[in-house]
Amino acid sequence: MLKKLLKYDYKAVFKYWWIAAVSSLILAFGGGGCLYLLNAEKELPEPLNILATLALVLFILSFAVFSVFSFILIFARFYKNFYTDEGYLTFTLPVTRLQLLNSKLIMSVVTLLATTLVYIVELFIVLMVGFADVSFTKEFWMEIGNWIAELWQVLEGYMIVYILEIILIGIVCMVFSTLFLFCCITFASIIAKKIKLFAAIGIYYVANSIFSFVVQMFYVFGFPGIMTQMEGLTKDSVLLVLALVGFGLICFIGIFCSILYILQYWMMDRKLNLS
Amino acid sequence: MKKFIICMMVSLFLISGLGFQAYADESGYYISEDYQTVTIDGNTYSRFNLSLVGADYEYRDDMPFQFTKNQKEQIAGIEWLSSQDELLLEIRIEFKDGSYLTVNFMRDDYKSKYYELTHDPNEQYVIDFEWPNDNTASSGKAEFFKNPVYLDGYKLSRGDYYPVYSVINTGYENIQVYKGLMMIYGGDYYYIDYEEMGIVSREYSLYDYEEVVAHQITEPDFVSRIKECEENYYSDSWGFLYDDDFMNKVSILFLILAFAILPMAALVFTIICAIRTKQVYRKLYTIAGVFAGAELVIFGVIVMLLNL
Repeated sequence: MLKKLLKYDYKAVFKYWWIAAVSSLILAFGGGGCLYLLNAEKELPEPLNILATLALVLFILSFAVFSVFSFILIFARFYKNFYTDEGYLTFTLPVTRLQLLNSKLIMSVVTLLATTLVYIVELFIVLMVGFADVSFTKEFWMEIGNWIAELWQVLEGYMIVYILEIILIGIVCMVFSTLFLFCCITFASIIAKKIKLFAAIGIYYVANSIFSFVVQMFYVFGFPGIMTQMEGLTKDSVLLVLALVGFGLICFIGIFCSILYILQYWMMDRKLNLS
Repeated sequence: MKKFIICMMVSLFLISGLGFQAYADESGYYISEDYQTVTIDGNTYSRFNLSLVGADYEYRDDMPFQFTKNQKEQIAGIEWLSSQDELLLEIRIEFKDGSYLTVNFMRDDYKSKYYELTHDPNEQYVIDFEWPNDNTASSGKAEFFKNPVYLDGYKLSRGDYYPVYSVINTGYENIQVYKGLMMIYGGDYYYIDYEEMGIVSREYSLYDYEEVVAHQITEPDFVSRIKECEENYYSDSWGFLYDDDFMNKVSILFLILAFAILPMAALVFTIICAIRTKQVYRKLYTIAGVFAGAELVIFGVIVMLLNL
């Protein structure tokens, strides 16, 4: 049943997502073109210069709009499917609450992963087109290859570990941010009967501010401590400590994800008056 | 009558056009090709060494400079800053060959006034201990030039020193003109004057001077005020916040809180909840417990490796 739930969730979200993704990719080519014109050695006439700059700003804004659009699709689907009239149908389906929640969570993470992938492709297109004089030369790619080889010489096998850790941290952060917003929406639906959406936005804003403050404190006070303690260690020990810190971060965020998941499930199970 | 009105209007139009043109000409921003003079809104500025002057400069992007043909070929970009009253300028030029030039200028009509203010025999010199705020001791210029002695620059460079400046009010703002250093050497206080030593910028090292002309400060009241500032500097009750050792300890405490205490609390909580709840919740609490347990194990290994 989970597969069927996922199928309908993907259909609902990707129906609009793919249009935004394709538009964003086309705009990436435009952005790259404007960057190429602005970087060209020949001085452009003033009106064309202004037009190219404005167009580039527009393309950059469109990338941000695509990201926000992806988030809105995810949370609109969650909210509509659970907390509007459609919710009455959803909760009468022959599936458990856990399956419903897992379906939304998996759909959200996959959408965010796809959005990230599109961003990487867009960045690649903008850089390749924007710096076409350099990026299509053999020397440029040899330089990239040399840089990767040097990095491998320094990091050795740990390079693969770090890449995997970065990907895992990214996924865990996506799960956390999705569950965080799900909890805010669900909590708002419990406490506010009429203006649920505004209550959800308000709760999210306050909770996010507190959370961001705590994370900032950690960056300011926590990380320098690790860096200072690593002075005097051998290279292998430093690489191992950094790898362990990465895994530690994954587990640390994982704890919070689990707690948010339990909270979300408990609110859906016990607190929402779904009958 | 009609022709008269038309003539009047045309004349008014022409006069205002000429007036705008004249204004535009006078309000031009120019820099000479040898970068020795600058003209801004009809005011002329000449190159002036302001390395020993501390003024608050603001970025000015309101009007671009008008370059000559030669300058357009050489200059890639220019940015300029001015003091609030526009008496002092700093111009940063980026050339197309990748090199940079930073030049300071002073308005020509202010130079004589500036000389007067900086060579006033009644000038007050201020020793600034820089911590805590307003920890300064000042006295008349004469007190700083008594009892000349010759000291070894190499030995002096290892001592404690604090900047000495005079404050000039330009009519719009206060600017600091750095005059020298106050050194603490062998328990005594000495003043070293930049002009006497031939130092023209704040980038120097006493280490490079075999012999340094220093003036011992002996006036009892002034010496006791300097001593008081020195004590304030070292006994500030909030100074420990800036101590590296203190910040290191706070970092370690934070790490222990985030990677040991919180996961420990989470592990205990999830074990208790897993025992007391039913099937579905038990599985979820177990997953949370596994993360917490893994976190504690990783933290333990990191502590062993870092010898915390």
